[in-house]
Amino acid sequence: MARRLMDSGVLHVRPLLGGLDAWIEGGFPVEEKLVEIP
Amino acid sequence: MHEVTRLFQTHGLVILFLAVWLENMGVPLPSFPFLLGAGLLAHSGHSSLLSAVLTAAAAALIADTVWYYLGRAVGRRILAWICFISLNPESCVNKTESAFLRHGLRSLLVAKYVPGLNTIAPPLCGLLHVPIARFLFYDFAGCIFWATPFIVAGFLFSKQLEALVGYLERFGNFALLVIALLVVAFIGYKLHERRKFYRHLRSVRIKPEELHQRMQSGEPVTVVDLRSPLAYSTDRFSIPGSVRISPEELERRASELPIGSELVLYCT
Repeated sequence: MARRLMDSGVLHVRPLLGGLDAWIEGGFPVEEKLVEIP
Repeated sequence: MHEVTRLFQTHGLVILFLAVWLENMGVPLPSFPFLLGAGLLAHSGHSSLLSAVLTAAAAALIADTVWYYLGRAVGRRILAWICFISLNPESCVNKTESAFLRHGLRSLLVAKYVPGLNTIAPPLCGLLHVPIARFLFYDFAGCIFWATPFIVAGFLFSKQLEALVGYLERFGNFALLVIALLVVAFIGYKLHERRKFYRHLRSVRIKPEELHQRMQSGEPVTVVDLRSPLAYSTDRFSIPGSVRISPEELERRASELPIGSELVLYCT
């Protein structure tokens, strides 16, 4: 996904290392609701 | 080369079973030449079309059932692992997962023809606790739909295939060596591409600590949640301020993003 976005001109695309699991394991804050893109 | 054709004539169905089983277990071994060969065997009277189709379908079904139970036992981690060992990491979990969720069990009927979906669908069924009887029914039908055209093609084009085998036999072991080298070169190329892809990802990915720090300091970062609806439904937590959008939609609307904006993407 990141690569395809870069190919289509979005230069600053960075995957999060370890994903959401790593974020939670690191003790960083989470929320329950998300902003849905219409 | 003569020995190989003789071996295939005497143990064709066993070899077909092993080739199909290995491919469906994830070994990068293309089984379609074996399926064509099985059609050729049926034409020459060494076996029947029905036994060839059933052998191939049974081998694929057994491998898929192993993946089904792995999905059931291991959960979502099995999908990440499949993506890691895949020779095509870009056709990764999210897109195939979305396709599966859109079409349900019917996607098993065509899954073997769709790269990515063929590997992901069986463990996904296990993960979703699809009843085993329903899984076996749809998957077996899918295996039959997949194996039959190749075997029938081998049967119908047996003259041309025999000519090709005869031509290759004239070159003896050299032909075998060339075929083996081509297969090794193909796998080597795919592995090289995969290594390059992962090296690139490693160089650009952001650590959770860095992202948190940047968010705290108010830097403009757009955090995008790319999890599939399935992953999202099993875990509704997300990174504060992140927006949820499907990979297809994000790709479609990439041109709308402000130039120079930084995107941080995450899945599970």
